[in-house]
Amino acid sequence: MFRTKIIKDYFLYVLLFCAFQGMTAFSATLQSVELISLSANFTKILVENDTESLTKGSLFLNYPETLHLKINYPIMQDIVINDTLMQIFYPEKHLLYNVNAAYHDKLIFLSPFVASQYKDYGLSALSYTLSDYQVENDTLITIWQPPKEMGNAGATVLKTLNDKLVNVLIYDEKDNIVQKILFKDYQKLGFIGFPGTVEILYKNSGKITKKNVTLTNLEINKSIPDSLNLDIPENVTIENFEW
Amino acid sequence: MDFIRNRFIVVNLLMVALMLNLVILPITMDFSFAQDAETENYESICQKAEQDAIEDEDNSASFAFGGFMCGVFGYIFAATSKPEPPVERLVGKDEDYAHAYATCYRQKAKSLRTKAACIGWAVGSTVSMVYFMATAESESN
Repeated sequence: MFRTKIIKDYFLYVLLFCAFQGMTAFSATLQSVELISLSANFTKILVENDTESLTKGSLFLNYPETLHLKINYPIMQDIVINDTLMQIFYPEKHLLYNVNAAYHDKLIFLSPFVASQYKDYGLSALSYTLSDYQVENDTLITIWQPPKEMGNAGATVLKTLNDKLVNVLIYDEKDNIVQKILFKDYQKLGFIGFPGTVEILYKNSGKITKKNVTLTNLEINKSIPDSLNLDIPENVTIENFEW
Repeated sequence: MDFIRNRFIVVNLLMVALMLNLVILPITMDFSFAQDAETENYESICQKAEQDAIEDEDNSASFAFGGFMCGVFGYIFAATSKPEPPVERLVGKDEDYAHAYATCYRQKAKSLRTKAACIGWAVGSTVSMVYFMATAESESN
């Protein structure tokens, strides 16, 4: 009789432990894989005020230090961001802008791609708290509330299907959707599931703007070209700016 | 009696601060529109940059609060801040666009910040002035 009770208690403790593990897995900022480097070809389509603009090129990210964008359409342009220095080079014009600033965003349009590698989309790091969750078949929906300091921000809802983030809805304080982010064309890169396309819909000046970024020939945590720095010819006009 | 006289000096100083606000505020408001557009293209780039700055600086309440609490220091902080245009908006853009966009964006964003700080400063000064006048009047009675 006593032994049965011990076995029952043991299973109860095991169940409680599993439940606790499950709860902490929801709220903890778990990253599937550590991102060290990323290289890809990119295509960015921006539809704004009924006008479509296309940008094509390749990118090399040595996270978090350096980003090198080599744009080949609609113009030839190299952008290298390294710490506080951003260099914008126009090879056809032999012109280089050196821009110094306290901070440069190194991820630019890569932010949602990188954030998709976090189970919580990186929201815990921004002091968001998990307020609710629902499970529907293979889909997990989690609802996150912003910290009070983020005045007019509302909830953020993450929809994860088979352990892959499929969409993010960002609301304002009046429960209106202000941004919708869709993650598509997941690619299996070793142990990593990485979205090939991210589509973002948001309101700008009252009109809906659509941004679609597609990454091809993706390589993660593989060797990046030896030099991420710009190879500047001698006869180049250099203009320096302080931001 | 000296105490009341001191109060009146403080009130006068606050009124001078308020007058300065009334002078500085229109200057900073006009500054954002003072950009002389050399070409139509420059003007349209500038308009886009300014519109983006308005969208991005939507939450400039912190600068207004700084002006309210710290007065002239809040204004100085806003005036010396360095708003930075998002790099993504310069990707795939030619050198003239990048230069014009960055210049107009920074000017507009800074103007919005200083405007918010000025409004905060003016409100703060008015509140303090009303408070001092009310307390001085009640003491003289």
